[in-house]
Amino acid sequence: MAHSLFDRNALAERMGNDPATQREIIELFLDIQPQKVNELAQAVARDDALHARAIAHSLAGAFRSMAMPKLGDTAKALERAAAGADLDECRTLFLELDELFARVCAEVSDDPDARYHSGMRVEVLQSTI
Amino acid sequence: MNGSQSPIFIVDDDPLQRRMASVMLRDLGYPDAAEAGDGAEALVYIRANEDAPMLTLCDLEMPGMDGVEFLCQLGTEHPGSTVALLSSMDRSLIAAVETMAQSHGLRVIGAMQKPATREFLRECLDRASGSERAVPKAPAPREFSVEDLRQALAAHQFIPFLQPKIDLKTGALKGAEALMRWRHPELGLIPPARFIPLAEATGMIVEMTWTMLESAMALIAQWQGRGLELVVSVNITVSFLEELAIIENVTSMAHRHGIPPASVILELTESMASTDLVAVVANLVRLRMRGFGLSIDDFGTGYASMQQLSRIPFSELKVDRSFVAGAVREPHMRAILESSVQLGKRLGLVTIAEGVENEEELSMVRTVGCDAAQGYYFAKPMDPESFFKWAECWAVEQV
Repeated sequence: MAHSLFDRNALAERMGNDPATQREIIELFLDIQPQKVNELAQAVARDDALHARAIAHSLAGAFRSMAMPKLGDTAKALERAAAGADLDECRTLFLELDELFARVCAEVSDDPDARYHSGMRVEVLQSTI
Repeated sequence: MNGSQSPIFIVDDDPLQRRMASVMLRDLGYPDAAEAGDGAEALVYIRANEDAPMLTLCDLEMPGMDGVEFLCQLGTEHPGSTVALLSSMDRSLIAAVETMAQSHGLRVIGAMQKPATREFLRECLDRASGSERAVPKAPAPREFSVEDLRQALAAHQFIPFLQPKIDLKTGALKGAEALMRWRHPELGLIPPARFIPLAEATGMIVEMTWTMLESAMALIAQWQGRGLELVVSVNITVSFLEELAIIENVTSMAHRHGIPPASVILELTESMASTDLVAVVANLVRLRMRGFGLSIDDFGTGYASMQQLSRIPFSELKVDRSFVAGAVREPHMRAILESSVQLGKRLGLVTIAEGVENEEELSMVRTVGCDAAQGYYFAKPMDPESFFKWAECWAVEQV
């Protein structure tokens, strides 16, 4: 079994034990972050390091706030790679982040149909050619 | 942006981060935090309300107007507003913005790398609610003219307020800094920020400094007569040091009051100590030769090089308050504080920590080896009679 990417207890410790509040936060996360990951993919695919850095920065903050440290670290690494205009590294890190993000969405979501499926992996992979 | 005026204001571009902060604040007893998605939106909210919020939690990197620009604007429109910084940026960058915000007149009561914790927010709320509630929109201050300054000088309205300096080894009162205040007959006590820039720009500061020096020396003599031996510091400017007869005049003033030159310290800010004027440096050397103390003020905020420190014979180094406050939270600020104190010690200077406001900061400046400290933790600046009474009580408490 893959190691959990989401520390539910840590989130509960920060946000309180009210299940309704936790549900609300998770739903907000699922509403907002997939769009941001897609924006990040688009920025990486078109070699827009400036935009990629800004989105990765925002994602790093959100992942860490949601007690998803591995995703937070990956987003932070991508932010640094983008700041250094290291686009190859950005692509590699995006693919890693995209995979982790799909896993974490499946982990936190109650609705299997609502799972995140990256539509941008192909574009990012193609941009490496 | 939501809601009518709320005591807490969250400025962050990420709705998730805003919501998480909002939930934690709700659990801490503040259920209706207002929110804005960037600096521009935040300013619209603040401008639409009479008072600035009790506490503004501000992210730094946001699309549109970022946190840095927002804080500059907030400092201009609502000086004294209370803010806490929350960001995913590196700690050193957050600390730099904290210092910048303070220099824009904001009261920064916390800074943290995201994610925010309940404890951090609780501490910020305690600090914010423990001081002023909402900061009222400042009425347009009256502009003063040079003539106002002249009349005030002639009417002896510029008076020294004294803030104690405490020896950190013995706890004894070591001296005091004389800070200029304007006791206006109609407007009451006017803080220096309202008139010193004009005085400096017009050259009036020279005459005003002579007045302060005269008052400070008179107080030293008076206190000596009442059994209180103290060293008093007076702030001086480069223009004052350019006075032709400064050495003879300062020396004869001390002689006239019957006090030793060593009981007077002249404080020069670090940026002014960076001057290259040969005559100014020569006068500083001569003042020191006559026995007056020389202090480099606000150390760490200006551009003084090691060369400046070696060519001006300072006797005292005052580490700027921003490092004292920052050192408690930020390892790199602590490193700067420690290095400044070590540098001062290696140069044989007495080291003073400025702006000590609480026990945590006091413990920090003790740990890094400062010789003395001043700040609100001990006492605010006071008029001379209140200061004397305070000194008597302090001496009794230390026995």
